[in-house]
Amino acid sequence: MATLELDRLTKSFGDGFVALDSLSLSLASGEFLALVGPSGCGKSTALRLVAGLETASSGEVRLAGKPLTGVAPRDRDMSMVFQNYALYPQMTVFQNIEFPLKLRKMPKDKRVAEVHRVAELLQLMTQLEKKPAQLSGGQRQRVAMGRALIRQPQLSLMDEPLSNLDAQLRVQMRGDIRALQREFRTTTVYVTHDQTEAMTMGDRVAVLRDGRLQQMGSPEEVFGRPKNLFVARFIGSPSMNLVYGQLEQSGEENSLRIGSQSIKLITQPGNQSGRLRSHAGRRVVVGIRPHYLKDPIVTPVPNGEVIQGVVRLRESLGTETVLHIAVDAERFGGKTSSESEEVTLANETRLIACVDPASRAQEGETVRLAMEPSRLHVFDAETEESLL
Amino acid sequence: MNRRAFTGFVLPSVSVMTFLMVIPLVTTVWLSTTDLFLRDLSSAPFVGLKNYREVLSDPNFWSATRFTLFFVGVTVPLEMVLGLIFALLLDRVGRFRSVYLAAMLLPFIVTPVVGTLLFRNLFSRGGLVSWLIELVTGNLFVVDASNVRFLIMLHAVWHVTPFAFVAIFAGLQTLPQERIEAASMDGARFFDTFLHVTLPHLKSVLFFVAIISIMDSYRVFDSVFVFAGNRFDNSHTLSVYNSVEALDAKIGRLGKGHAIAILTIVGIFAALIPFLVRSYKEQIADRT
Ligand SMILES: Nc1ncnc2c1ncn2[C@@H]1O[C@H](COP(=O)(O)OP(=O)(O)O)[C@@H](O)[C@H]1O
Ligand SMILES: [Mg+2]
Repeated sequence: MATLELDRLTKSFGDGFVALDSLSLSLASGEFLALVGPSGCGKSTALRLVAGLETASSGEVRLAGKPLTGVAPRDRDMSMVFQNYALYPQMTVFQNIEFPLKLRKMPKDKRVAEVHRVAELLQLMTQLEKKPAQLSGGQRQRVAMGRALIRQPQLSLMDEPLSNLDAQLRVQMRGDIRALQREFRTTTVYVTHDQTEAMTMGDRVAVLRDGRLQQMGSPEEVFGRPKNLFVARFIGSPSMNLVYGQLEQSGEENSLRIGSQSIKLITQPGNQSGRLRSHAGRRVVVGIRPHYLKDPIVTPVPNGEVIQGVVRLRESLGTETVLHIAVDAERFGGKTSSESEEVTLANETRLIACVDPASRAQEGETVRLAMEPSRLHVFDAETEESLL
Repeated sequence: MNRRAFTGFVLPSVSVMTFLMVIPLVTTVWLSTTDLFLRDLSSAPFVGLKNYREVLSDPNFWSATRFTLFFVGVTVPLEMVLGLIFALLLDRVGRFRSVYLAAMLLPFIVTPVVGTLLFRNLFSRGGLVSWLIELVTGNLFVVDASNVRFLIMLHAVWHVTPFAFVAIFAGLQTLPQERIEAASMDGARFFDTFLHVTLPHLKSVLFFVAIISIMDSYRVFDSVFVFAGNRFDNSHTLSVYNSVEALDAKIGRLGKGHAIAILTIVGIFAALIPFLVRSYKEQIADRT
């Protein structure tokens, strides 16, 4: 339970590769930060620098205001849960959880009481005499949690602790970890490559890419106001629809020309409209999340803007229907695109819309999709920064 | 797999094993019950257990057994501890690893007799070590009955430590870094990590090294032969005693020699029993 500050933390490896580039952030006491980004973006490196397992090239970590440079990992009063759990194979579950207390020379009877308390919490009471090899993945994960929880450290670090579990267990453990963290109020840095995990667990979410912090904020913030195209695409599922457009201005009114169509853009008065104005007549990237594209026949959108296209594919998921719609527009396929979430298969631009299952839109039909203009995102096509 | 395929796969190794192990062993047992002499190999009269009775009442046999056990008991633990220390040291070295590795392995790679002769020359008149000893103590240094045992054991440690070292070093490379890091996060100091992470991980390697080294040292021959030859009976090991009894031009009692060989094999097994029992128990425990 302490504040954590990272101050321009940088790590370059022997070969000159910069894995982490000037990362600065601060956490309040008891806060749960989800550090998220694609594989190889430097999440583990950041965590290991905080833990002291790696030495920073420059910058500083401060825990409860105290700089930690030169402090050995064992003296940092942090716990860490590793991706592969890193349990001690020759020890029983009991001994694994007890180990940190044993090293601190706590008397035996107190140790037993503590282990039992934690094991109770993690539902491991019946497994105490087993060796890690005899446990299931979920149980091993809980032993690793137990070992981290038992001494109530100032800071708790977790490196993709759920990535080796099956989907169902992962969802359950997400909730369990958050519940435990709320109970102990331990400041926590939680690393994951899974944006859903980050969004559902984090008090705040920090998005990392190529060693650089892209954005940090509440889940609502990074979802609702992504600072750049990378965050816009990375957060949210399905991924945000992104197409090229032209920003046009007449008087006080901004509009976006997308292919042969045009939609009005409403900005809150005074809200950085200067940035938009300076881009008048320029090429921009327009974004809209699939859930904000509606079928106006079943879900009327008052004052909505409309875009038209041909339904290529209709997928019924029960609670919603996913439409793949070919539109006349140039698809944005910038370097942030990930192959699996490619919007188009054929050489045409497709938008994804998650509409109400009552929608009658059929494959091959031309449909109109409605959206609230305030749900639109506009990005500079060159710098990829948000213009809103 | 059907029976014929099974037979096809197993037959080659079974026949090689039969040829190289079972036949010689059976022959040895048979010859140990005969009075075969090196001078006359044409007749091998059956004498029952006479050779065994004779060996077991020969003070030289007991002297050789005592020294062999002493030799094993001193050199094997030393080799393992030194091998462990060197492996741990090299594991911390980042640069020129392969250079150190090659240097460490040198005594092991050198042909045994060459290594032994090199070693003897260091300690013989005019040798570097004997010269140094004379320089420091002021006394003349001669290999004699009082120090030849020490030399033999020193040579064994020099020669076998690299084997222990390289096996343990390989074992260290398979220790997951994460586990060491987890220990340091848990608050472990260097010695805690060694005791609770490194050593348990090396257990099976150490076990393997111990078994191989014990078998190997129990049969030690060349260094003893070179250092002691026929001169210092007190430092004869079982293998040397065996060769003296069996192959000596004058005595040359092959029958008795075979009896000694059988007793040596029995001795090795006896020495390994604690290890084998433990290994068996662990395998049973792992299965449950
Ligand atoms: N010891 C190292 N030496 C060189 N490069 C490294 C080392 N550790 C990590 N890297 C590189 O740093 C980058 C970030 O790694 P990491 O922090 O493990 O990523 P993540 O955990 O986000 O997947 C990767 O490109 C990786 O190859
Ligand atoms: Mg990682």
